[in-house]
Amino acid sequence: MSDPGPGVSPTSPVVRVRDLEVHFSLRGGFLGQILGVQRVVRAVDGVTLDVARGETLGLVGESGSGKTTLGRAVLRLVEPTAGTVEFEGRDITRLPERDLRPLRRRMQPVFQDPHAALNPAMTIGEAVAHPLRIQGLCATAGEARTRAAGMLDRVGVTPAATYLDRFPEDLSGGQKQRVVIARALVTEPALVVADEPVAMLDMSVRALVLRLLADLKRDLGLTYVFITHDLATARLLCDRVAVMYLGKVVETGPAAEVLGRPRHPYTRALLEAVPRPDPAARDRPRQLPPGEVPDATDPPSGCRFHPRCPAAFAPCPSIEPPLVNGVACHLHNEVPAPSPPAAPSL
Amino acid sequence: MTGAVVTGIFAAVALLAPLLAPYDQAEVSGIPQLGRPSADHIFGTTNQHFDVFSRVIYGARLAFQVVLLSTTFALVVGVPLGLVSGYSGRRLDRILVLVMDALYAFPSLLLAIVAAFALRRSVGSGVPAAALSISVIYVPQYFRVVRNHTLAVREEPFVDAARAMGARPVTVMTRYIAANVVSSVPVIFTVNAADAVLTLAGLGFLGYGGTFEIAEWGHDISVAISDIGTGFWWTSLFPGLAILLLVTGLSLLGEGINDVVNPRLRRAGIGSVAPGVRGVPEDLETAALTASADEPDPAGAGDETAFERLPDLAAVALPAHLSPGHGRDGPPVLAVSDLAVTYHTPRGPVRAVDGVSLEVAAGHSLGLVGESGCGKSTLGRAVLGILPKGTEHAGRVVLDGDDLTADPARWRSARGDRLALVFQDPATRLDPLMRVEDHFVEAIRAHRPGIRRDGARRLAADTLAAVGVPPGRARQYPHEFSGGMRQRIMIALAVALEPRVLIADEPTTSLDVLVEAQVLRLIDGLRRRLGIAVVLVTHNLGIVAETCERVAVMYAGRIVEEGPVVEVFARPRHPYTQGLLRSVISLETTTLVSLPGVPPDLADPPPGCPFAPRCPLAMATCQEVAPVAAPVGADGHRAECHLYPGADPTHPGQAWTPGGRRTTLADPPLAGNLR
Repeated sequence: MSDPGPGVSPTSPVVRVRDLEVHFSLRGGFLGQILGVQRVVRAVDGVTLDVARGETLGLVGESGSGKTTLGRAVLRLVEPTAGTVEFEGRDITRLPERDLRPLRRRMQPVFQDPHAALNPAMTIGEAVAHPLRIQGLCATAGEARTRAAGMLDRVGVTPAATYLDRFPEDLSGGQKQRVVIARALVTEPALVVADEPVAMLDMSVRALVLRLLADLKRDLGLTYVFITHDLATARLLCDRVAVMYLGKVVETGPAAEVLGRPRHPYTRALLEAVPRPDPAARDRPRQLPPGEVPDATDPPSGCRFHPRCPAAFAPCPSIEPPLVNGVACHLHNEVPAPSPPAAPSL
Repeated sequence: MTGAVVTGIFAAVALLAPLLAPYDQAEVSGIPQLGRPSADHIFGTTNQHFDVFSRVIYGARLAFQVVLLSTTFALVVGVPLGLVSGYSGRRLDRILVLVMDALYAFPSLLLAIVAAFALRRSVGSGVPAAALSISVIYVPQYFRVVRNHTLAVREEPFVDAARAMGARPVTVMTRYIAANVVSSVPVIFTVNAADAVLTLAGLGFLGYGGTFEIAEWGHDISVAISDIGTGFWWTSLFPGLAILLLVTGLSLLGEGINDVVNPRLRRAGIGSVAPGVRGVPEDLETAALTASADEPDPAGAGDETAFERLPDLAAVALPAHLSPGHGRDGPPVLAVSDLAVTYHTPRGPVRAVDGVSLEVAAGHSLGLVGESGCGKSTLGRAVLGILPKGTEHAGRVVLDGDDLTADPARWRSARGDRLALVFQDPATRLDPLMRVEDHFVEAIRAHRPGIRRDGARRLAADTLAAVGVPPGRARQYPHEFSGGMRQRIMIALAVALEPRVLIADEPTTSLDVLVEAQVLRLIDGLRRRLGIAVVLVTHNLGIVAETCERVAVMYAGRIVEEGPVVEVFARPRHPYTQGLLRSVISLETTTLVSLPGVPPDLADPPPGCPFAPRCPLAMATCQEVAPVAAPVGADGHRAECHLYPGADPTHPGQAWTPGGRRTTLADPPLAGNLR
C-alpha cells in the first residue's frame, strides 16, 4: 500500500529534514507597525532529522517547543523560513502547490481535536470520500463512497453504511477520531503526521485509538510522525523520539533509550514530572525545573534550557551545545567541538 | 412565526398586486380627489386622484422588488468578497477591509443618494437603479460578517485537513468555509431587508425614489405630508402603516431564523423549572475569598526576571494571615449526603448526580475520577452551589456542621470564602481588563468589607508570594502571565481567605507536564500547611495517585467506589475501577488495555447497575437491581457492586455506612476480558 515512489529506494528515509527553520513574524500593535518593530517567533529553529520508512518517530516536548509546527512544516501546511524538507526523495520545501498536490495524498495529518477536525457541514461519508475525489483517485462519487465505507469499516466505525450519511455532531469523540483517521488513510498515504491524536479523548478510549493506529501502521506499512507531550504514550508507541525544547531538538534516539536512560536534563525533568498511577511512588525524589518555557521571540542565549537547568554550568549561558550523539548538552559533550551536526541516521 | 405570516402576506400582496388592486397605480380617471375612505375607495383617494389602496398595494410590489434585488445583490457581492478576503488574507484583505470600512462608516442614506445620483446616468431611475443604490449600503455588512467568520473558521483543523488533501482554494472556500459561514447570512438578509424597506422609503421621501407613475410608499407620504395639516389623514396613514408592518414583520422573521440557526438560544428557553429549584447563583467570578481581619505584613519586593527561580513551597514562610490553623483529621469539614442533580434537557430529565455521599476531613484530599460525562464536574459544582439555571438538586451539603443547602444566603456567602474553587482554564477566569491585584481587592472586599483597599493589596501580595508569584507583578494584567502563572494566581485567589474546602476542577489539564507538577505540588503544600480539605476533580488517575489520600470513582452520577488511594489502587473492587486503572498508560505500560463501551445515556439509564452493560463480570442481578454501597475493605473502602455482600438493597444487612467498620475480604475478583 505504501510502495515508495519511482526512483526511491525502500531504505531511504521517507522524510529528511535539514536545518529547518520556521519563523513567524508577529505584527506588533499599531505603534509597532508604524515603527517597523517586528517580533519573530522562532517556532522551529534549526532542526535536522530523518524519519525512516516504517518507523514511528515521536516528537515530544511541552507546548511552545515547536513540535506541532515541525509536523506542519513536514506536511507543508506552513511555509519553512529556511532549510529543507524532503519527502520520499523530493525536496518539497518550496515546491509550488500545484506540484505538491499529487504528493499530498501520500502524506496526511491526524489532528488533536476530533471535534474540530471534521467539517460540521459534511456527512461522514462525504468527509472520507472527499480526498479521493480531490486527488482524482475515484472517477465517480459512488466509487468514492464505496471506498470511504470500506475505510470506515477498517477503522472500526461499523457498520459503515449506517454512518455514511450522519453528521459529525452525532458521533462520540472516539468515533470522530476514527473518522479523522479514515479520512487520512483513504488516499493510501506513506506518512501520517499525528498531532496529539488521543489527548482529547477519555483515558478509557485512548488505548483503543492508539491500538488502532498501531494496527493500521503494521497492516498498511505506514510511517508515523507522532507528536505528543505524553511521554508514556511516546514510549509505548514510538521507535525513536526527538525531544524538543524551544524550537530545537535537545535529545534524540531510540525511544526505550531516551525515555529509559535520559541524558539531557530536560528529558530527565519531563520524565520525572509525569504523574505515576502508583501511590507508593509518590515520595520519589524529583527535581522539577523552575519556571516555564520562555518566550520563543527571545530565546535564552547559549543552551536554551540553561536558565531552568538544575545542572547548568560555565559554558551553558554562552555556548549553544550542538546535537552530538543524540544529545545537545554540554554535560555530555564537554568540548563544544566543531564536529559535524548530528548524524542523520540518529 | 408572526414575522413569517406578516412577511408572507405582504409578499402575496406584492405578487398579486395587479389582481388585488382595484385601480392601476397611475390611474386617475373617474377617481374623486381627496375622497374619504369609503366602500369604493376603502383607504380613500389622494389630491392627485389616486386610489390609496391601490397605491399601497403597488407600493408593496415595488418595495419587494427593490428589497429582494438589493439584498440579493449585496449578498452576491458581499459574501464572496468576504470569503476571499478572509481566506486569502495579506494585501487583498487589507485593501478590501479599508474600502468596506469606508463604505460602512459613511451615513447610509447619504451613500444611497450618492449611488442613486451616480446610477441615474448609466442605469436610469427605475427599480434596478434604486435596488443597486441601496445595495451599496449592505455589501459591507455581508462582507464584514463573512470575512470575520471566515478568519475564525480558516484556523479550524478541518480546513488544514482540506489543504492537506490537496483541495484547491476554491474548494476549501466553498465546501469547508462557506458551508460553515453562511449560517449567519439569512439573518443578515432579513435584517437588511427590513432596513432596505426604510431606506427605500427614505429615498422616496427625499425625492430619489418613486414618482407619480410608480407607487412608492416614501414618495407617497412625502406628497401627502401637506394633507395632514388640513385633515386628510388617510393619504399618509396607510402607506406609513404599510412600512411599519412590513419592517416589523421582516425583523421578527429575522429573529425567528436566528433562533433556528442558533439552536443554543432556542434551548435556553426550554427546560421547565421544577418546584424547589434554586435561582441562579451570582456570577462565578465574584465568588471569592475572605481574610482574617488583622492586617498582614507588607509584601517584600519581588524581582522579575524572565526566569524566576520559583521558590519551593516547603521553603517559603507562609504569610502571617495564612496560619497552619485548622489542623488535620477530626470531624469532616465537608459532608455531602444523598446529593442529586437533575438537568432538564429537551430530551427529558438527566440525573447527572444520583445520590452521592462524601466526607472530607480538614487537611485531607479526595480525588474524584471517572470518564467524561460521569458527573464529576457536576458534583463539584453542586457542592459549590453554582449549577446552571433550571437545574434541580436534592440532598445536603454540610460545611463545618453548617447545612448550606438549608440556607441559600449562607451558601452564597460561603462560596469564595470558606468554600473556594479553582477551574481548569485560568485564562478565561481572570478579567483581562483588571490588574491581578484588583482581582484580589474586589474578591476580598466582597467578603470582608471591613478590610480597606491597601490592606487587601497587602494580603494579595502576601498570598501571591506564597504561591510563587513575585509580589512585584501584582500590578500586571492577566495576559502578561504564562498559563502556569495564571493558575498560581487563581490558586492564590482561592486560598487568600483561608478556605476550609477547596474544589479544584481539572486544575492542571490545560498545563504542560512540568508546570502541572509544580501546580500540584503547590496545591498539596497549601493543603497540608493550611489544613484545607481539597476535592480534586480529574480524569488523570496518575494525579490522584500522586496527590490524594482518598479517591472516589464516579460512574453514571454515582460513586461506585471510594476508599483510601493506596487501598483502591492496590485492590480495586469495582470492575469499573479495575478497568479504569488498567487503561491508564504510564511509563511502565507495555500493552494497551482499553475499557470497551461508553458510559450510559443518563437521559435513559439502564435498569439495575449502570455499569452492567460494560461489565465483564455482570450477573443476572446486575441487570435488575441497582447495587448500593457495600463495605469492601479497610478504612471505609466501599463499592457499589453485587460482587460484594451488602450491595443488594433487597437483602439488607451489611450496607455501607459513613465511617463504617473495618471489614476483611478475600482478594477482589479481577475483571477479565477488559482488553
